[in-house]
Amino acid sequence: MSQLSLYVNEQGRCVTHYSGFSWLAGFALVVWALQRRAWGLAGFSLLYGVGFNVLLVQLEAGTQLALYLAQFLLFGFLANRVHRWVLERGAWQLTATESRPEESRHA
Amino acid sequence: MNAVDCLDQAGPAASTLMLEDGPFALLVVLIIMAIVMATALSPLLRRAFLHRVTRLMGLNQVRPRPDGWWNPPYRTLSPSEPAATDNTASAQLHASALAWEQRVTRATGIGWLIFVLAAIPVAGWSNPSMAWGDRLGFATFAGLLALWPALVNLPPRWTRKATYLGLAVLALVALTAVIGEESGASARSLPEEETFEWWVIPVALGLGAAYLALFRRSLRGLVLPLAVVLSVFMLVFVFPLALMESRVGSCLATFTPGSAEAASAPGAHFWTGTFSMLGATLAMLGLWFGFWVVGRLALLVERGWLDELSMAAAIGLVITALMMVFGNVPDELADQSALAAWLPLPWVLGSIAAFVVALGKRPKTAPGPQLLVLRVFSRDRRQQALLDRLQSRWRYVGTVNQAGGPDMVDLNVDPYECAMFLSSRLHDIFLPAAVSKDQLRGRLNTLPDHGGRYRINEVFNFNTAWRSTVEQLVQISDAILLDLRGLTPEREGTCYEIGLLAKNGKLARVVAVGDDTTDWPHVDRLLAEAGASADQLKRLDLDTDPKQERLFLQLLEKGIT
Repeated sequence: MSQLSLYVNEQGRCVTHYSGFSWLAGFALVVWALQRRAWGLAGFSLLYGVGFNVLLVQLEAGTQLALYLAQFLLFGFLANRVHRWVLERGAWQLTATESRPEESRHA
Repeated sequence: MNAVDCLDQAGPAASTLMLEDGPFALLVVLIIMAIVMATALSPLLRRAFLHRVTRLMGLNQVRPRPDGWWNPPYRTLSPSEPAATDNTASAQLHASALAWEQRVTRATGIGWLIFVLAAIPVAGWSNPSMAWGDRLGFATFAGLLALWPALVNLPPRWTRKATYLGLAVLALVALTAVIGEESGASARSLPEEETFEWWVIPVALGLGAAYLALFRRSLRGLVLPLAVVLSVFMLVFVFPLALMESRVGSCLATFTPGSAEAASAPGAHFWTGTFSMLGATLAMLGLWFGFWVVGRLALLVERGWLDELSMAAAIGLVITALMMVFGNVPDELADQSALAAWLPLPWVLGSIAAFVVALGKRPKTAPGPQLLVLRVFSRDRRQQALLDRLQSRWRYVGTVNQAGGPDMVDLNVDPYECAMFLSSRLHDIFLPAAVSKDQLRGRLNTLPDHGGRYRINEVFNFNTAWRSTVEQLVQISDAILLDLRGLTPEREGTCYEIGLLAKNGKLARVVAVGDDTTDWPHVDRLLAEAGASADQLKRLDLDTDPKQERLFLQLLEKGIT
């Protein structure tokens, strides 16, 4: 299971970070980026997505499927790693991490 | 030949266009699609919400938050004053709560009635050729659809009776329509393919069920805001595309991948890129605008201008009015009737104005006694039903405070929480660590809204915050309900809370409820460990004394002494 962490910047804005493979990024990188409020990446992935689709429609069905699968795996595996790298490289600091289930003792 | 030459060619046949039946018919279809999608997604959404809350509750703070987090620009509440310490007798407070509840019920009834009566002229304005009998039918159907939004605003005891009544009337209307259609078809001696199509019934029932699900107690907190997001998304995304289709439809053939036209048409890549870009941009814009609308609606609730019940009722009326009016405009008037597009606005506003006038001035605007609900986290329906009835009644007296948890997703998800969840900012409503009394008061809304109802304040906590938050909530609350149904020694959170109440000398403000699932001897042991005697805790066994009214009165007495 992925690990949930929370990062905060000096203005008090918080973003969540999940480790591991991201299905959402694989299927729809734009939505994944919007969910993390990474506006620049969302804009870039929108342009990339349009360009990629324009390219895809000109290819054979088998090639389309192979390219789509490759893209799915690439984004799924890389998205959260890149996100963490961007956060730690920027002005974000880790503020909260997930406890083990046995440590959490709400009512 | 160049890429734009296709604009000069004849467009596709009108029968293949999205706007085939006119813009109003398309709007109705889009709203219905949004409702169906929201309902279909509701189990997933609920599960995702539960999952997210549970995971956030398990977070441990490892670094303190900067000051900016504690004073976000969207939060305008100032630390609230403690409850007014007047010496009003509990019986008097109870009577005034009952009176105000009845007044809300009456005002809701009047608002609904105005909505139904106004439907008659609205039917005539939106379709002048409509016969009087049909106008009455229009008003009846509008009244039935508006019944569920109205019920949201009523006390929970109304829900079951009115739902059965509404379903019975709906079934009657459907039956009459079917019989009428059948006899009409026979009288006109229509050929077999033009007679009544029975598949319409399950589709209509399915749509009706989707509509009802919007207002279901356990779903509406999450589904209604989602329906708003999807409706706005559909309007912003699909409607411009439909308009464009009717204007540049001749070029759309190039957009169909694999078609012969796509391969050979000049400028195929130009149009493919253009439509992809436009579609993606409109989709993003639609999503953003949908979230923006829900965010603004949520702020109305967060700032105390409206409570979440009135908001849900108002949204329901708007959806009903839009569907009824847009579905009633005849095809031949659809292109020229700009008036019809605005008809839902005065219709809904008139009904809301009638509600506000009938409600009158709210009795008081000072904080009332605050009730803290401490409980064993459980999703047992019986437990939730009691809490629901109790908190619905207490809201006419003062605020209800409780620690947020996954068990309350069926009862207390308000538009603000839902908007924060949908926009992936749910973590911002969680307290990360111990807070001072003033910091906590600053996050609680203790004043009644314009409808006279106080707020249910759910305080969500990280794992590193909940103990201190419960301690502060115990200090600032006037009455405490300790729901011990399902308590076992393994329920360490609730066991901690029992010890906390005893150590802080707050047992005099507590009414504990339990049943045959409560381990009372363990409760006594916990009290003894904290230095209190077992008889200091006022208990109510719901197996032997299930009167909710008695519980309410006992809590009221605790709250004002």
